[in-house]
Amino acid sequence: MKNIMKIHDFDKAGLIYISPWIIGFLLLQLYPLLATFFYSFTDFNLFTNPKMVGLNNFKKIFTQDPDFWNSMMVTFKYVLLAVPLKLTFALLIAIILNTKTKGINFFRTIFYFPSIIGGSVAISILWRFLFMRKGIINNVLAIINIPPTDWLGDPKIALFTVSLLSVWQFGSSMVLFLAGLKQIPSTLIEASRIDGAGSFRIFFSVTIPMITPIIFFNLVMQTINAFQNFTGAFVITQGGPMKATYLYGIMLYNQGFQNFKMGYASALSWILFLIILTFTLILFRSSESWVHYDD
Amino acid sequence: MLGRKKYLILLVIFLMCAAFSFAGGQKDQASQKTTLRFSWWGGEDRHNGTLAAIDLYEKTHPGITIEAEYSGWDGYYQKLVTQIAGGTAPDIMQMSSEWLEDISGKGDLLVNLGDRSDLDLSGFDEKFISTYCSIDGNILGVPTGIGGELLIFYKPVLKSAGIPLDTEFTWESIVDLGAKVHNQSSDRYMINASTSDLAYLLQKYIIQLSGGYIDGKNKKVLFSVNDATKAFEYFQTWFDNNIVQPLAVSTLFDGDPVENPDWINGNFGGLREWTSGINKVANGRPADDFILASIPVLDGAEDSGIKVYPSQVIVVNSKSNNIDAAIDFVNYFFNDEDAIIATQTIRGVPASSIARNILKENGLLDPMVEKATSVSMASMGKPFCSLQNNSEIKSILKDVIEEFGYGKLTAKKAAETLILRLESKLSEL
Repeated sequence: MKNIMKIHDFDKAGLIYISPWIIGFLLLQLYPLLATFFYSFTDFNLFTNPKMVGLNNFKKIFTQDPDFWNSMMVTFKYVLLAVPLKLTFALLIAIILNTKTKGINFFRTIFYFPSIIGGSVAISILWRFLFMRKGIINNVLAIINIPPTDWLGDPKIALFTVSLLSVWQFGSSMVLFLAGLKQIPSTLIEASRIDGAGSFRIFFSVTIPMITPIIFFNLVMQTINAFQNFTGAFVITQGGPMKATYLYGIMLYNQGFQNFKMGYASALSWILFLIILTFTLILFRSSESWVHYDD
Repeated sequence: MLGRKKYLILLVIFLMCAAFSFAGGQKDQASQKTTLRFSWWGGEDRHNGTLAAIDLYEKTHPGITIEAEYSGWDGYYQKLVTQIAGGTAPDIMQMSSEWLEDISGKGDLLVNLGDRSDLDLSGFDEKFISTYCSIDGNILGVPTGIGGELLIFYKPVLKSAGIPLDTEFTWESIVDLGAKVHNQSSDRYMINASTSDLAYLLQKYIIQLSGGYIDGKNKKVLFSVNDATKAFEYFQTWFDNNIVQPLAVSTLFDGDPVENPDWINGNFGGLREWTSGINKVANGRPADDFILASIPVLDGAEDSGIKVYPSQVIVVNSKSNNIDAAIDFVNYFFNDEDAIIATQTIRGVPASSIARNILKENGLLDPMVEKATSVSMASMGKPFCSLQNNSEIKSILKDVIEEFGYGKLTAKKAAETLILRLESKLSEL
């Protein structure tokens, strides 16, 4: 009886401690989630009461909206570009920073810095000026006689340039990789060296398998973020040129806040949610075959 | 007992956290002042002038504080309409007259200013107000300035290309002269225009050829494939003769051509702008450096398509808790001599004759803004139908011009695509 009472007391205390988060979750996450689900079946312009239209919004999205298919394609391309590049850079830099050199903490801070400032509107505007035809990037390339490129004006490469802004913010993934690298037992590396393994062999056969949980975590988080990306493309190119960078987030924003079709935008947001959920589940399922946990 | 104490302590901590997070915003109740919120968009000179007028009002009305909420143009409309929908809109708002029909159609959201005896509208032209600021006979906004659009040319670029400064700028002469500007230096172009400005100009060309663009009431497109093809063929000559930068270069500054470094460095012969944006274009350069010219009009055109309408309108939120105070400020803003002198022509030549007279008497009517207004009024077109201002209708023309400018559509295909998409959207709306 005493033990049962003790458990009961603990639960109540725990609930009170986390009540601010619970209230925030209910008001700012669960309520909007359920509200958008409801609105996705309505015609709603924010000002007048929503009018039920059943599955009309979803039907229009899949059969009458060319922008939807374009944005899906652009967003998938963006995810396939930005996520692998970001994780590769993050891992490479983490390996380089995983040394005991004087001043290494300074370099770790420098490489983390873009993650703090990178997502801001100011940096997006700066990106525009860096990559314009007479921008610094082309000026530097001109030194080695490379002709100027319209990094943001050419529909074929604008998406790549916009994705670089996301890749540049690799700091948070890098920090996680660094933590993972530090946890690899040095005995494993030493034993591999004694057995005659070279650096490449050690990297692919020891290091990578040991940090697969971190790779998996970063892959899931960065994929989710990439699908939802908005600020960079919105500020730098407004989805252009010719909708080459018209990410799903921008399309959703335009439908909701420019055209005031909140019901339609809600339907779009739920479709995105289901796509992200599907990809996340696929990644989790696949993790059974390539993620190695020590325990 | 220990358990109960723990709960009490936790509850107190939680309540304190809640109290701190909800604190604030109590100042007004405590001090019993009236606070009004006033939002507008603009450039630096508009912000400074408006803040000066607010400051003067607050000094003469000590019980009233006006919180200024100002920003640039980008995102202003989306933010404002979201605030209106969410019930958090400011008391006094600057809007475009083009938004009035849309917003008033969504409910009783704006005060009917025509009913207010405490607002003096005698200085405004009745027809101007009834055409642009009224919906169903209700005056929903007070026009700030007379806004028009025109071409502004930069003399140093024209001079160095050997172009006489008294040239009459027609659609044909722009192409001939533009070629000269680019031949003189490959960095130079006659007109600073990307997709949005090309859309404005091409729309005018279509209207001048056909007499109209769309019929909002009957949801019809008013121009033919032939008319649109001619328009696109004309603007093809702009790309072929380097009158404008390639879209791949200018697209980064679409909507804000004055931010293009080539404009700042004096590599453009001119651009299209609104009269209320003249000072932003001049950017400190002397007025003598510029030629103000009408957007060209084809011979025999029934309608020039050139917009002359209120630069902006000031509206009062019908959900405001301080409507009387808001109206009092609006009345002051438009009729008080000190306010008029503080704001001068930051929103174009004032639409109020009272304001224009005060500025003239004090020698404050910016001659450049005044001239720009009279130039654009001289070739004023008919009012646009409201559906022409619909965001989805506008974006159709922009998208087609972009595809055309990037060489994905021929002139004829662009014309057909434009009409097809407009008809499809009109049937939906």
